[in-house]
Amino acid sequence: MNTFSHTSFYDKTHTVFGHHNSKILQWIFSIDHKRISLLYLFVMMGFFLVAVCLALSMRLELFSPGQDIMSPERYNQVFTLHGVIMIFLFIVPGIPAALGNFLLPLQIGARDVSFPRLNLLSWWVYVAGALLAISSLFVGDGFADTGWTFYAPYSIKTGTNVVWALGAAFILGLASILTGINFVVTIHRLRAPGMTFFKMPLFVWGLYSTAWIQILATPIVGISLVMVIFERVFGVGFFDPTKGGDPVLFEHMFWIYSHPAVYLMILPAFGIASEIIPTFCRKPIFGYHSIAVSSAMIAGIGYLVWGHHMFTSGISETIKLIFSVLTFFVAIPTGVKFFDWIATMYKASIEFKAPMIWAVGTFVTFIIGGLTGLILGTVGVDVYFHDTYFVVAHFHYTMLGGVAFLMFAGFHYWFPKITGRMYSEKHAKYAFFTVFVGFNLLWFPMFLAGAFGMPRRYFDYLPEFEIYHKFSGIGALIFATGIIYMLITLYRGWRYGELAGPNPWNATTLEWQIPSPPQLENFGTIPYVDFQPYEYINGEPVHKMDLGVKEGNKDA
Amino acid sequence: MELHQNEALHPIKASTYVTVFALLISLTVLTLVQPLVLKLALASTLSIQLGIAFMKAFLIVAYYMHIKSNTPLFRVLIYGSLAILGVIYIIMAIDTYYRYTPNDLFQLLQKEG
Amino acid sequence: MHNQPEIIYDKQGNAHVIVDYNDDYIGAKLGFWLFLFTEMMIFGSMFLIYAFYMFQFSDTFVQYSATLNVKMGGTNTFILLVSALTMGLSLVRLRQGNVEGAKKFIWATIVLALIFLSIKYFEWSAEIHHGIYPGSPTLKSMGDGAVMFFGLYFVITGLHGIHIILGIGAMIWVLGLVRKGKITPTKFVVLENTALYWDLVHLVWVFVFPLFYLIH
Ligand code: HEM
Ligand SMILES: [Cu+2]
Repeated sequence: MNTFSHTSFYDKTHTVFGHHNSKILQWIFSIDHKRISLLYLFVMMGFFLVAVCLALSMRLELFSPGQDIMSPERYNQVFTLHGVIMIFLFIVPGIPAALGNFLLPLQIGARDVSFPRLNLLSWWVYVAGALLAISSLFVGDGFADTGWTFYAPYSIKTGTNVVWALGAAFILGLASILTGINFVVTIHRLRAPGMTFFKMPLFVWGLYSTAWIQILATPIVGISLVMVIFERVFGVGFFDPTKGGDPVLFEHMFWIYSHPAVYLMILPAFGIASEIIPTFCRKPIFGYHSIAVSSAMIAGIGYLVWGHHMFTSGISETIKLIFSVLTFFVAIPTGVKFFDWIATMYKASIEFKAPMIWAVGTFVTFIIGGLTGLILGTVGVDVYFHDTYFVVAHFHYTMLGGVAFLMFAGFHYWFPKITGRMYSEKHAKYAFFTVFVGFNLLWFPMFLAGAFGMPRRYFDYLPEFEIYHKFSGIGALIFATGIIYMLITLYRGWRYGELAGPNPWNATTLEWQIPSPPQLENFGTIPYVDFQPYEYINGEPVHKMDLGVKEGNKDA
Repeated sequence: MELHQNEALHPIKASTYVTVFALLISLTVLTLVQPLVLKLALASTLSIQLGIAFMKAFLIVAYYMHIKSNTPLFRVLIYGSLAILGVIYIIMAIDTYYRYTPNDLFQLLQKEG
Repeated sequence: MHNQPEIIYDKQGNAHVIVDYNDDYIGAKLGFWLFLFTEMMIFGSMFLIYAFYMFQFSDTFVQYSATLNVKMGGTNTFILLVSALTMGLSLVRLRQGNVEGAKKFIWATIVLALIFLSIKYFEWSAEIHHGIYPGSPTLKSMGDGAVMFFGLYFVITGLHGIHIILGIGAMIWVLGLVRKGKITPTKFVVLENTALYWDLVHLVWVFVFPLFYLIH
């Protein structure tokens, strides 16, 4: 790709061991954060598509009552695999390791992350974990059938290959920790001179909060999963009631990580929204400080609410009340963010380009997901809704309709920066509407089915639920079509799109002040940052810079 | 801000290490002696032993791990992380206490009501 | 790569150094501390499990704590204490420019760590010889509290032992780097981080020892 007037990171790279002639080796051993980000991106999206196919097979099984295409045992394995891939391989690494890796150094004016080799290592560790998970399909009795939560004591007893799946989750956790460490150090050390914490773009704030969750919470689930492995291999007994152990302790330790993990997923996604909104409203974001601080607050409170997943597990009544109250508190900083975004949009002349449409569409779906979360956080109600499709619909509205949608919004937003080209605006919009309609048709009926008592994790159901599953199945098909449509649109943009130029959106953050795609080591000149990240006057960016080349060489 | 990036190079001295070592040894001797001279109930033993352990931990982190001489950032991060761990312990303690003793507030209320 | 620090100027003309991501002493140390936080969370979780079962089986915990070998455990405590000192002194020597002295102290630490492991080996062997190990029928017949106490004992000391082994590996690697001239009196952050790691291993033992050996 030499169509660009400059040598971009696609042409030239740093690798771990010297120079390679092979293009493939130049990629998989590259220590350039931009290449590593794309490595992550492609593997991750590949797994996403696999998990979507698994989901479609589940929807097909559920299309009509009775057993259709798979046995009950197989169904259990399929939803476990779907959950494990979606969580550990897609959405947890998703925004930080793929988009974050690309953008973090660009947005803070750095030439790379603090530990480029560690960054590559984390990708390799991620791939190793993924391979372990996949190979466990073919060993012993096949993939685990425990659900992605691996609850003891069933995970201790089942004949399926739980140990490998747990090992894979542990290794993937390690990769996530390495990314987190790298990001925190990068943000503390490599910000351009003058850029204080409150001059950082909000996506960076999201990544920062997320990185802390990766560092402090992941080890807890890691060690708990190892304890389950020990349980199966050595028979230690911590979570085995027949030996005096307590399975609820496992649930505690699992959710101590896995609840903060949902904020780990959503915080950088909120960061993406906070980048897109001011750009397409062409005005400074409303309440910059409150958005930044609320990220940190969500991360903080997020550590204290894990018990809302355990209201029916037999924990004490007192703690249930505490957890319930704390859960409501999380809604406050989240509400603050939504308030700020809407206030930014208020009376702005909004340009509804594809990224903006994705972001605004997500507000709709995420608000549904978030508010149903409050319903579920109420102890008395949750006792009724627990383990029904109401919960499944809730978390798909947040994780798919929130995190994944904002990730797609980010893809569209930074696509010109990453590829240097533009996709077709028209098709991108059509693709969005297909996805959006399909998604709501897919999951909204499940709120109703769940509220009327349809339990989760069953391959079959009573006849009265058929109508909901019919709608849902059709929705799934439309949704999947929309995703394919979107990917084709992006692919065509990448291959045949028009050159985008450095700053097609008139955005203000630093990544737009260098050529697209960026060159190796990103910046020729690193600016002194004594301005806010989103400064517009009369719809025009205040600071326009050309940071691609070195200061002295500009005229040359 | 800072002109020389690696400026935070505080000198470290062998004498500091040896002094701290002597303190640690004396504290360790204390932990060993305690069960011999004082036979206490579990709760008191635990608090004495853990109290000493925390003192040792402080010495190690402050001097052996140079936190005393590092930039304040490190201290803030350590306190923050410890606080999160502490809060997790507290929440777990609340649950464990009410679950395994007959004092659960709501069950008491129910009995009265 | 960039030998001279890169400098930019703000509007007032003040100079600002761009931190070189390839050579950032504070960054390297900060990153290692973050890694230590993850270790802290791992052992913190194990102690959480300990506390949880100690609350339920306190009498049994006290009873079986008395059966552990305090002599061996105590000796190991002192060994680790001394090894933390030698590790620290190796850093002091290196920074004073005394590379050979630094190497000697690292070797001393390695030897002490090996002694620690051998003692641990004998201690575990004796227990396993008595039929006490996770999943054993003898242990099961001793009741739930014993299963938990010894389960925790083996898992936590085992996890700690693995860290000792990794530490020895790290020190040997450091010695190699010193020989190759990659660690020098002015470029010592790898040794410093290894020393930090060793302090953490020591720190964990500071809690393990009383919690298992001294609560009777
Ligand atoms: C193509 C879109 C998707 C469809 C059609 C779909 C469908 C399903 C279905 C049918 C289940 C099983 C429910 C049950 O039987 O209990 C399920 C479970 C689940 N899904 Fe999805 N899903 C989709 C996307 C996602 C995404 C993007 C994520 C996360 C990022 C996700 C995460 C999960 C998780 C964690 C479970 C729970 C697995 C378990 O019970 O252990 N799904 N999904
Ligand atoms: Cu939760």
